[in-house]
Amino acid sequence: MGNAVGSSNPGPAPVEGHGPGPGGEGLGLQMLGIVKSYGGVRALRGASLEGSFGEVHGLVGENGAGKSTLVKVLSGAVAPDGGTVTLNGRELRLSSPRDAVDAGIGTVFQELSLIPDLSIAANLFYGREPQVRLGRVSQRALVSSARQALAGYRLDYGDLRRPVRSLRLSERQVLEIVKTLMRRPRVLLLDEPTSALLPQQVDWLFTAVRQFARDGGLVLFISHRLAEVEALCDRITVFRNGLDVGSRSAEDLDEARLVEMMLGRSVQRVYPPRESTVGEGVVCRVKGLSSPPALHEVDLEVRSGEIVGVAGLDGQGQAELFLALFGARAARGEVEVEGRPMHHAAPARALRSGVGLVPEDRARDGLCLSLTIRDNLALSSLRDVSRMGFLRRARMRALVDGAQRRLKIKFADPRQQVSSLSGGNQQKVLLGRVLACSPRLLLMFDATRGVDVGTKSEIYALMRAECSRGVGIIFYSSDVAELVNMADRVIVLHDGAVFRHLQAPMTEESIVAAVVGGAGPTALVAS
Amino acid sequence: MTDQEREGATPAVLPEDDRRAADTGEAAAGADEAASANPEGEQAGGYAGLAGLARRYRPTIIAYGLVLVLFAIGTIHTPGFAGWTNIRTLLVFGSFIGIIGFGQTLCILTGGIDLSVPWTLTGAAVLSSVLLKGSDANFVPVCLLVAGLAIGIGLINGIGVAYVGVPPIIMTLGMNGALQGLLLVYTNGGISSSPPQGLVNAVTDQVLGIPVILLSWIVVAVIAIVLLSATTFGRRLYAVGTNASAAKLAGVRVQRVLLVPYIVSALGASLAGLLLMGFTGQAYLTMGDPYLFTGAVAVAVGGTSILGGKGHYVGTIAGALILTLVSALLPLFWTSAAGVQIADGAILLGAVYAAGRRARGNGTGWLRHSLASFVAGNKA
Amino acid sequence: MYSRLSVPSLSTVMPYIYVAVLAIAILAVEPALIDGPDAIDVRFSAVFPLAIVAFAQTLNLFTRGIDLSIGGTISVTTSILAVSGSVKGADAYLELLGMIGLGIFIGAVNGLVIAYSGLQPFLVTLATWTIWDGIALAVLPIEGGSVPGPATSLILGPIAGVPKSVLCTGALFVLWAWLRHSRFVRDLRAMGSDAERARLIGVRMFTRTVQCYAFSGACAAIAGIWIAVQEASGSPTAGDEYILTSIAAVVIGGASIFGGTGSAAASMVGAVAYLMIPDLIAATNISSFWSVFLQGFLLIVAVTLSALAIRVRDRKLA
Repeated sequence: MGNAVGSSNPGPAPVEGHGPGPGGEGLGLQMLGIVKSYGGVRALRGASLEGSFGEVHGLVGENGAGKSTLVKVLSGAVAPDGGTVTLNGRELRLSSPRDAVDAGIGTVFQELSLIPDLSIAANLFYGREPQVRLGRVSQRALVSSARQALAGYRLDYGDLRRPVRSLRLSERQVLEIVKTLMRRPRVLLLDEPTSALLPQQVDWLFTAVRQFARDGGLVLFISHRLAEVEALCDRITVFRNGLDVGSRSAEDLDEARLVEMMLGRSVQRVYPPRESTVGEGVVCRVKGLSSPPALHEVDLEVRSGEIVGVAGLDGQGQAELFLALFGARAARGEVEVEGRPMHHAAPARALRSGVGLVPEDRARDGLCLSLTIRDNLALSSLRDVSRMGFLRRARMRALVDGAQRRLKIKFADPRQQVSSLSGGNQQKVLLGRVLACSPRLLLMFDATRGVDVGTKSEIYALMRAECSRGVGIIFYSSDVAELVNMADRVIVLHDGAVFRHLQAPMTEESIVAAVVGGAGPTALVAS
Repeated sequence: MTDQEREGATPAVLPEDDRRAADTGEAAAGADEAASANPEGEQAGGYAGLAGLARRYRPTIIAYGLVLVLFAIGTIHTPGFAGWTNIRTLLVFGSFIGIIGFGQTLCILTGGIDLSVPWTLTGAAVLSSVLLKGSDANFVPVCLLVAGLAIGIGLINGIGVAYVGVPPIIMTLGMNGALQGLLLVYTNGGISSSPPQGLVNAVTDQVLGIPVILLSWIVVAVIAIVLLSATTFGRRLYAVGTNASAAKLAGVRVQRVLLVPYIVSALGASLAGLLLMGFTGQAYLTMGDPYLFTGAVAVAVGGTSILGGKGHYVGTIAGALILTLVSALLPLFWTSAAGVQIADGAILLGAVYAAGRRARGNGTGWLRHSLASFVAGNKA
Repeated sequence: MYSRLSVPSLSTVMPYIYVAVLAIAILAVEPALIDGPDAIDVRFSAVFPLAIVAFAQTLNLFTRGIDLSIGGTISVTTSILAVSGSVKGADAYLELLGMIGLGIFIGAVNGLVIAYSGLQPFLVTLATWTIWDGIALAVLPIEGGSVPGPATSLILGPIAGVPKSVLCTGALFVLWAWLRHSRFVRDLRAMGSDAERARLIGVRMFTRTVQCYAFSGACAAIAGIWIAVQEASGSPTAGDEYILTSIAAVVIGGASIFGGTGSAAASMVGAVAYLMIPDLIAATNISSFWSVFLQGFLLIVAVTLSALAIRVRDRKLA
């Protein structure tokens, strides 16, 4: 009862009964008027949130709306500038993650809080090891307790002494969830917990969450996946621009209404009208592309002006396909661009052959964030803005101006650091860099991820514009609506091979069915 | 976000553990929210215009400020300190650090370091001294040989760092020891010949009133500044030092770029060795010992970030001047060798602190940095 | 399914292989090299100081830090001992304790500066190394002096026929067997593996940093005492050579430069391998200068194999 955190005897925890035990009712959680600024910019402007025990409470909002900051405040990772957090009538002082844990708030962090080089067992019981003598942790007790604990959740990860880094991302996400559940918090804070999970793991999570709420705990569920939020939550609060703009029972909301609240206006995601830009010429022909262990014998053809979509669950070879096509990953097989064979040895060669790649994570693999906008834009085209190795400022300026105009990038000075731009503008800089090389084949890996709706529309229009000039596009998106509205054809990858091939016009259901069908025995009909 | 995770040295898939499948895709959600709240993309702390330039190069400006302060202290304490003769002497002493500092700047900008400077320097001097046997006859061929060996040393260091994935500190440390061993074997523990008189004369001579050594530094400095500011190579180098995996996907030949700093560093060390030999009139086995960390310290104090990606040779010039001035001033205030050394360490600590944010970060900076991650494989 | 067996990390097994290879080579060339307990004592007397600083350096590397000031600590310890040759009796033992206390102090100051300022450990300990070497120079301007008698009799000589050097080195291995699963080391590895996440899960970063460097200082002081007694004199630069060799030993022992993994035992075995090379060269009658080369070469070989092993591992996971 009460504060069940920090129990030194976790014991085997059955799937039922994660919560704080019977009688866990109280006034619930109240966050009132939370204010937080980062260097002069207000991320939270007096936001409030109320959740009752026994409830699964969803939290949605666009990027930049403030929900991540709210999570950080509640989990103690960040101290707010103002406002109060009250749990069960008692005001909390959350100045460190420890304070939050002691108060009964268990957080499943989006970035995970597992230490890569420590063992699975050590991570699971960090700070609460079962047997500690003279400051030394008994390994045997640690491992066996860990095995028991995992078994209670019907999980088996084999040798628990191996480091967490050897687990796949989905396994790590599950481990993070188990670790938090084991501490029997009163409030369970889940920040994008399903981003890497396979469907059956998502089901497992939903079951655990529902049980947790039934046992009297409060669950805060933050996710971009509105369908999940609607399916799981009893109540949903929407954030926009640093404030909560509405909190309703989930029954009263549907996706359209949610999006409307998130954006503040009625929205029809703006896709450019479908035109047939597909020409006769073949921009890219791929035969037998293999890159073990992730990619097997992929054949592909992209015609001029065609948009080929790639779909599939996470980790089915999409990333490897794109990297292999771009020469960033060792691969066998034939790749031809505009009739000329491309030796996929290095990205630099791919660029010269007319292939451009917009990588997956712009912060990590796309941009050099602490360099200037100008340097980022020109990085792939240095040859064109220089003579004999020396930079020509005039040409660089022309390149920057051209990109700014074409992509409508908003910045004051090209000598600004790229990190000072918003997510959408950063993505535009990345696109600007890629397009400055005038590629004939454009590879776009989830290019609209983490980008606001306005910028997304602009990117779609840009894609159409390129197609009308004969450029072929291969694009991967985790957003099925994009595939339906933009692609002429969709290939579905499963286990590194082309599992299914869909032709426009497609429906979202048919794509989802094909994607999921690869993971299960049910055969599905292509549209 | 300057601390980026990077890919392996050979094209490898982005390991699953680093793929953040969350639809936000933002690593620093807070920063993104801060930026999104201002959709025009302008942030108060931008780097636009002259004020922006000042902000960006603040550590370097502080370094030059320190140079002026130290110089002022000297002038106040000793008449004649500000005279041309004294300045010239100081600049000559600074030249050795400055020349070594060029290669070191490049290494540190890419998140590495070159610890093989001492024995490359000594090796160049000793080898040429032994081969020339005191006569000027074969000067040019011997120089070419020394240069060739320096390139070889730099190549081996660079290949180890860029292609094999050895952390730079270890690779160059090992190379330093290996060179020491080879030189000891070659000279059997001691050398008996002195440098040819012609060389000594040439090095200690002056051109238009400027000592040859200082002139060499000026030439090196010009090359360094032009290379970093005005060439495509410079842009690529900064990109690699900031985010090597992004640079690779942008078409930069990262591994080839990484070879250059170590080759330049070895050449610089060799040049410094020859100049030092001419300057002191002798080649001896402990010549290089004082230069193990000196170049790196000059770079760090001059405002270049140890984590790579930020900084410039212009700062290293200030760093070299600071170190030289400190060595010159300390004996004026503390007469014992011990006192000088203690004060030296204290000043070093202070200067490093003044370099501010850029010196911060956890761990052995040039070891843990993204470059090392990039080359040796990823961490979750 | 996953294997239930734990495969020891290849990198930390390598130093044992190096030692084995070197031992075979040495004994093949000169079987009579180890001709009695004295020969063993001589070698372990050289191993112990390097082993103890390699031990400490391993912990520093766990946190992605490094301690260059061990050189200064060793120097100042030997220097102080060397000027106190006339100290007798209980005072001498107090002095030894004082030296260890000094080492802890030096390390704690390092840790405080590093933890508080966030500056690079490399730079901070470089500066403090310079400072303490300078203090050593002030205490003992010229090599020499004499060490207190009680200290000498404490450290030299065998116990029950076993040389103390062997016992002390063995004690270090026992210490590691206990420490490796301690909360202290667990925290250090967490800090080096992922500092942000370590902070998130509640690791007391400040405290652990200070403790880590204090431990390093204490080990360096003990090494300094040992060296002073072995050499029966002091030197203001006694510690300098131990800095880079301690790093070499740790690298040969397979610890990761990026923090989080490694083993102090493997580092100590790496130290043994490193020190076996001069023996090998001496046995083969070629110029003794080759041993310097070989030590550098061993370092490069060890770290190359280590780097390649990491690449293989990552490719398997890809």
